[in-house]
Amino acid sequence: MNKFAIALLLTLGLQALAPSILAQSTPGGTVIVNRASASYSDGTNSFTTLSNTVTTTVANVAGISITPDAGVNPAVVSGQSGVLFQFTLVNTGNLTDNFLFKASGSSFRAVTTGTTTVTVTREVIDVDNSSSISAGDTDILTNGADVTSANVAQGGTLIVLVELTINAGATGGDTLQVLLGDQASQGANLSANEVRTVNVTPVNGRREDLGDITATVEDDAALVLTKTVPAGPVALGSNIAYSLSLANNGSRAAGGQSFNVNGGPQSGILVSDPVPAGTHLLGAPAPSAPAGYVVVYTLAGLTTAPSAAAWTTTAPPLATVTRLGFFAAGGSLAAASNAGPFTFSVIITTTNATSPIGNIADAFAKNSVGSNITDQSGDAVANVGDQNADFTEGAAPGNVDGDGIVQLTLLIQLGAALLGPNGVPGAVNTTNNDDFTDLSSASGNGLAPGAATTAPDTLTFTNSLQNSGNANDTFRITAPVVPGGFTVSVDPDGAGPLPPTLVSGGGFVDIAVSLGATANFTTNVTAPSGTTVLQGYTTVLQAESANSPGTTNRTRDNFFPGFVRVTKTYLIDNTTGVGGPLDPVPGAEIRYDIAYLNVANSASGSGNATLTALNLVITEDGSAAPNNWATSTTHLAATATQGTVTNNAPLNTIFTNNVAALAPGASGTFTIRRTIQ
Amino acid sequence: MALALCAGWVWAAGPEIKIQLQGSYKPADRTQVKWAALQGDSKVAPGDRLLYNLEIANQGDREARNPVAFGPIPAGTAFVAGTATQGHNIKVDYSIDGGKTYSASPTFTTLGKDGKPQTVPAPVGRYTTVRWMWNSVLPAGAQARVSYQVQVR
Repeated sequence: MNKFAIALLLTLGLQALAPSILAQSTPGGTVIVNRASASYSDGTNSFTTLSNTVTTTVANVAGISITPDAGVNPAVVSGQSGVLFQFTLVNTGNLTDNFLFKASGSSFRAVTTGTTTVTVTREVIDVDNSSSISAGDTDILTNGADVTSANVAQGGTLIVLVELTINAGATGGDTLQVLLGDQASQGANLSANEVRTVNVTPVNGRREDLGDITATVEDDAALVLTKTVPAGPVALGSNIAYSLSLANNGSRAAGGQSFNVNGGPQSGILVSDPVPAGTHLLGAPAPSAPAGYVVVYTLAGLTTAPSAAAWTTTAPPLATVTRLGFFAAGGSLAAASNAGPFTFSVIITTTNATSPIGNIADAFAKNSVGSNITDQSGDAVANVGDQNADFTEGAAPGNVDGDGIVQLTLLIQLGAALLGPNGVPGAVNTTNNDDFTDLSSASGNGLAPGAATTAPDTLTFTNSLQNSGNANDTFRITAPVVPGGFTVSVDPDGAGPLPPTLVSGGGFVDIAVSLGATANFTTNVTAPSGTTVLQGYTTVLQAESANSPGTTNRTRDNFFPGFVRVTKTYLIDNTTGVGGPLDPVPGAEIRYDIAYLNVANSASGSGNATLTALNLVITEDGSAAPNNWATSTTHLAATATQGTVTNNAPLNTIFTNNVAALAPGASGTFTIRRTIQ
Repeated sequence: MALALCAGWVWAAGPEIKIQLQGSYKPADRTQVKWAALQGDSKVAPGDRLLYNLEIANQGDREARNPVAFGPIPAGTAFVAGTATQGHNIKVDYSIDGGKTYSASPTFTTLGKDGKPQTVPAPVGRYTTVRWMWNSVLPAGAQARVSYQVQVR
């Protein structure tokens, strides 16, 4: 009976009788007979008299009531199957009648909101009134034609059961309204979705009614695993303490999944946390779990999902543990509740501070409809995870990429560089900041000491840069000292595709070097025309760490436009008695001293690239212009302080001093003694 | 209720009351606003109201003392509260046991929520008879009219 019908009765002033009338309508065909009576007396005797009889017949009246109206069923959840909605149909007429249901379940409809959809799995007349669907019930869903019920006596009831499955995408807060029939308490209009009486003889014809039941979709168990991770930076070798908590933000309790624990299957809730790469699990402080949970361990590699791993409550050697777990055997997590804290610590074992220490954990349970649910830490998105936290999950939340977020603890990065000669970044001179590379240019060839070059000239130095810090780093190469008029450029990859960059005058080049690696680069030093020969010109190169600004190392690239200086002098030794002792008179001795000096730098440390003159040959030719002493002197002696001396005897006019190697700073003298003719 | 002399009645020795019952109905669906007399083929439906008019007439030659009229509530109907004719010289009461006992406000005993018997007012649906008792005589040739309504269950 709908609200309109109730309102009508109220309007008619029948409220007191309405329920009883509906429940106990006088059967059609009943003859209502009435005869009054009266009594009186004449003062002595009493008399009774009867009236005439008035009769009327009760007509057949059809009626159907479908309840509930605006009924409310218990809340449902996404993915729930076998959800029953029960309607009671009452024959509110005053005759035995039948109820008709439209073909193919058309008398039933579901109106949903949001993302919720449903599938009608069964729809029956509950013949045995068991409030459950059983074999003898009458199917009114799959029938291809209208279904007429068995006789329903006046006041009799019929139960209709509608069974639904809620789709997996249903969202908490959505509603689901189930309608049986399409119009409330009216004459049947033979519409598409009606439920009506069948008998056409009643004075009010056939009747139809509408019942409806609403259920709200609530969130099933919704796991949100939260992890507290220190942001750092922390030093290599230090400890990191982690803490986790597991919340069920849903409206239903979470149950356990089956895991292999201590050699056999056990059902429970598991929080699984892989030991971060570059760390070891610590025994002290010991891992701790809240009441109801035990600490479990596994040695399974991260390619094995936690659900397939073998867990033990006995701790193996901690350095071998791949994952730490917290297991609640047989446990459940009530709706809107939390478990935790779950805590453990690791020690950082990596020596490379380049990458932060990442951490992410999994939680596993079942929801109220028996489906496995999981969540990964790092975001607030419930029930989203890839079920195997292995640090590949990235930084996007679960609603974006379907997994959690790897939370990072930064490591303290200590930058350090060694910059030095080719292949010897750690070279040391007096310090490791004045190691050097000496290179000589041919621009000084043929020029006497003190002379100047007549054209610019470039020397290419190769320098080696080693990352001696604790993380990958990028180093800025500058030239804080450049000789006047010189230009210096650095080519970070030598003959590679990268162009050289001018660093003299304040420029720089950034070179990335992995931890412990050495990178070679070339430095082009160009001396201008007019550079005085036979001396060194120092360019200081500096590498500065980006990880630790202010941390630098230097080397020196020394440009030599020639590095063996040759100086010739002569001396007259006159002992003939004719003239003075220094007069070049016949019979006096004339001595030529040819002094040679390697002007390059000598090193006090190691690893420096020095200049040694190899196969030095000094020739003194008495006939080569402007020399002419070959014809005016005779040989007396030829000696040298370094190497060997040869001549072209018996002419004795050409002398050679061969020095196999003249080290930096080394010198020698080639002396030729002659007698003046 | 007025008592009146009626010249049409036949006089008899002593008081002699004749009682006439007339019924009419009005459907519950209000498609009919006036009472319609019940005919032999009239059909009513649950919820319809029936109006019964009783007329007692003293056709004797002497006054009738202690006149009482009884209006049964027919099976398949229920008395409609407040519809029995009232009057200053009439006592109206009701029976819920087929006329064995009467009361202006019938009660019956039932078990309360506490499991103990308790007396509660009887709903009008349990009424079986309406009784009118005049506290005056009905003179010879006089008549009286009362009425009540029932509703088809």
